[in-house]
Amino acid sequence: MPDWNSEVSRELKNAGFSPAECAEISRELCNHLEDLYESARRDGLDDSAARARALAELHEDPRLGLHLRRARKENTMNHRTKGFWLPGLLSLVGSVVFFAIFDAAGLHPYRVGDFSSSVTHFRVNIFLPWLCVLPLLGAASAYFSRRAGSGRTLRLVAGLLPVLGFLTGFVAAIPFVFAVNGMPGINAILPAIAAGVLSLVVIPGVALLLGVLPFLRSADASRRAV
Amino acid sequence: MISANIKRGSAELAILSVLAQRPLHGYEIARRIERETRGALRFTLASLYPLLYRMESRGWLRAAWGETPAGRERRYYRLTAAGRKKLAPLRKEWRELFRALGRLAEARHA
Repeated sequence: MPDWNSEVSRELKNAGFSPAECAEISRELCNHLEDLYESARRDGLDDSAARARALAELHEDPRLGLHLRRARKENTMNHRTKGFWLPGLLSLVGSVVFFAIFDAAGLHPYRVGDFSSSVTHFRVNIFLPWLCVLPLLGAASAYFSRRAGSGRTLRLVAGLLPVLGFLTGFVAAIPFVFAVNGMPGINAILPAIAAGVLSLVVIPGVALLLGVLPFLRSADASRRAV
Repeated sequence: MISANIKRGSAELAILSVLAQRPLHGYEIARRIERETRGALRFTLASLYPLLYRMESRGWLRAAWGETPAGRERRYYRLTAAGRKKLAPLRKEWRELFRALGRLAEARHA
């Protein structure tokens, strides 16, 4: 079997691909050349004629590398924007806005598991009206992400973006709180952090996930189910 | 034989149509289109892959490495939800175009 790598590498050499991209494209084009070569051999061509027929397809366009690169870069940003950032922002902004609206309307989180004392501070807040809205936001986000052709992971991350944002904000705020209030003992810190993570990340995350889950199935599967 | 411009415009429809049936790798896509159009549409390696990559970056196709029945590794393309959504109006547009051209040809003969 001829070695196609050198021929393909020559075509891709100046196209500006990263080594990983170059390796993947090269592998795919070599496979195609191999299939062309075998087909030509089955048609009765000898080795050199079959090889020439396959290579003629590769060298047909002298700017193949450039065209491949342009094709791979085209709309990458748009696709990522439509498939992830816009749906993710929808759930993120929506969750913040609804929280603010319910808070302004005088609704307050329901406190459960309040084990606060003079030393520890463990209080989980459950903001029920807000939690009821989150599955809808997660579902909308995952739906738009799926409609834009995103895979399961992107749909999931887009739908859960609010809690990822809260978690990041929460982690970023801890050193600031310590700087302002001083370093309390570990007995005081851990329950407070655990309560915060439960209130702002785990429980809202579960609510968002409830909405996201139906849209993690592929569109084909959901169509078959109908 | 259909002219190059028409071919270029119809290439996306051809690829989406064959992939609507089942996932295929690049070589299979080219052969399937050639066979189903009885040679009227023919993709070479250099014409096929820029188009496949463009359609992939637009989110119409998704590619993943898989094995052929013979145990060879190939990069298989399949339609995404966005690709399926694109296919229906494309089919309609082309049907309308051919109907219009048919009417025009009949009017010429009348």
